[in-house]
Amino acid sequence: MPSSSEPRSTSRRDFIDWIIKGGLLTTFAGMLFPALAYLWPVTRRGPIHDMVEVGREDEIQVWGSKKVVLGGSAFLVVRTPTEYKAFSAVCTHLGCIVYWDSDKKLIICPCHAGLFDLDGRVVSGPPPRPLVSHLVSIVDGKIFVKP
Amino acid sequence: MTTDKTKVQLLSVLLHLFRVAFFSLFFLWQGLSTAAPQSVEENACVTCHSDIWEREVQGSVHARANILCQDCHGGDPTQLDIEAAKAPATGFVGVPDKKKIAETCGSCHANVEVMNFYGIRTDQLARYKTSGHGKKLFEEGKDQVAVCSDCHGHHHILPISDPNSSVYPTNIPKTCNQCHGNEALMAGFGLPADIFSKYQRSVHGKAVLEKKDVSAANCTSCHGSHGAIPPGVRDIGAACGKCHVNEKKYFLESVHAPVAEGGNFSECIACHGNHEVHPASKLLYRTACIQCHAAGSPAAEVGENLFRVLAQSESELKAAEALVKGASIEGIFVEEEMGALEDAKTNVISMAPVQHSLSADRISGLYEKFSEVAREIKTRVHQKREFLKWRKIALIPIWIFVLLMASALWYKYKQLQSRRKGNPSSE
Repeated sequence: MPSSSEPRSTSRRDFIDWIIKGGLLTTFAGMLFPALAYLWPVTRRGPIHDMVEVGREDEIQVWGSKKVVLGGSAFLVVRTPTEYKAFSAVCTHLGCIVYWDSDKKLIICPCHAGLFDLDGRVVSGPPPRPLVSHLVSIVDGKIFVKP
Repeated sequence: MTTDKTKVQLLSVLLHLFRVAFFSLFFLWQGLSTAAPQSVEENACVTCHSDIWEREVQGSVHARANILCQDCHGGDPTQLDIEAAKAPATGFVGVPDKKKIAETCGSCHANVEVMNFYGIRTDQLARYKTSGHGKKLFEEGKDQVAVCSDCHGHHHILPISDPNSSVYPTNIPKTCNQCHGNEALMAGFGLPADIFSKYQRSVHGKAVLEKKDVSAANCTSCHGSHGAIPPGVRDIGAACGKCHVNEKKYFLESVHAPVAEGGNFSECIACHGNHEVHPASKLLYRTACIQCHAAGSPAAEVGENLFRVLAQSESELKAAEALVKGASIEGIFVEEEMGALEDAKTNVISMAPVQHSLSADRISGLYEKFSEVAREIKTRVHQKREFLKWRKIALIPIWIFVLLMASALWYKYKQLQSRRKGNPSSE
């Protein structure tokens, strides 16, 4: 009798062992994935902390602009001959999205004609405060903005 | 002969020198005796009226610029004797009448050379003479009207940038109300005396008086300050348009513009009122239009259509905002949708100034833009909710895997335990 039951017992034990081995392998892979995902962006995005890539330099011509959404809010990046500037694109009056007028060299709110200069200061109109400005960095031709 | 001639010439020169010396000394003495002292301590007016000086004048902008009593009141501040100090020859005027006040202030404030370095305009007196106040004073001789000192104060005059000044933007309504709230005084001019209480209830009044917003309109913003006068029908748009730039721009495109140009329509105040301007509401289409247009008429129907589009836009914007907020609370990442919501909101807010064109096409254009963004937000949130649902479903096999693993490990543990009990020597 023991001889007839032994192969069946061995087979069941092997099956459990395979489940445990497979489970441990899956668990190990599950642990490895976030570690690789953590390492991967560092090589891809560079070492800038807390800054978000919003585009490449060649996307914005001199005296041009680009609107981007970061952290649920709109930002306006303006390129001048010497530097890049980034502002919150939300008007401080009633919250409309402002735009850059390259002819007038002013940031304009379309709703109530609020005008801001290239430092975000109110030039005229009802906005009570200047636009909030944000740090911009250029690394390897890529534009990074700190939201 | 030659000696006599030389003597005469010498005598003549000596006489001339004596004459020059005498007159020089005389004028020097005169100059010294009549020149106004440069310091307050030497000023006889201040010496006698020290109470007024300390209480009212000392902290004023004029005292800081060494503009002292005699500059407005005349008199001789070098004389401690009251009779000599106020002698007629000193130009003493005591309390000047209203015309004299305007002219006295103007003697410096209308003088470009004097005011140049203070950076103050010099057209105040000229403007005052064009104002309702000035015309009544100078042309009709009515001295109940306001003159410089009624608004700026007389002794304790502060710079207009000083929040304690009676003409600081947030203080102007109360300053004007000193006269314009006086029923007896206003009755004499056939003017209402309840303007301040109306203004207090207005959107401008609340901004200025309660929120202390110096950029909001006070009396002088519409009427002018030194040239204060009620704007005529054709000037109302210009007065309001100084701040409400886009509203004015779009109004000029409306069918009302030529009517207003003809002086038959009082632009802004026809719908919004003047002193008691309430926050703009789309309900004006149902209350203001019918004051001129019969209810149900084609013109009133244009207003009704605009009302419907505005109401629908506001309602859909609120729904979109609630959708995004709800998704955020559910734990869905909605950063992109929040950004898109700002775009959608811009289109709805833009409708407020654009509606002054009364153009259904323009408003519909903005509504279409808004609606497209709102639909996109709705679609994206729906997709994310669906994705979240599938992610939750994906948890079922993961939990099955975890349970299977736990069972297998438990079984293995029991197996090893029973083997150890069956063969203790294996330890």
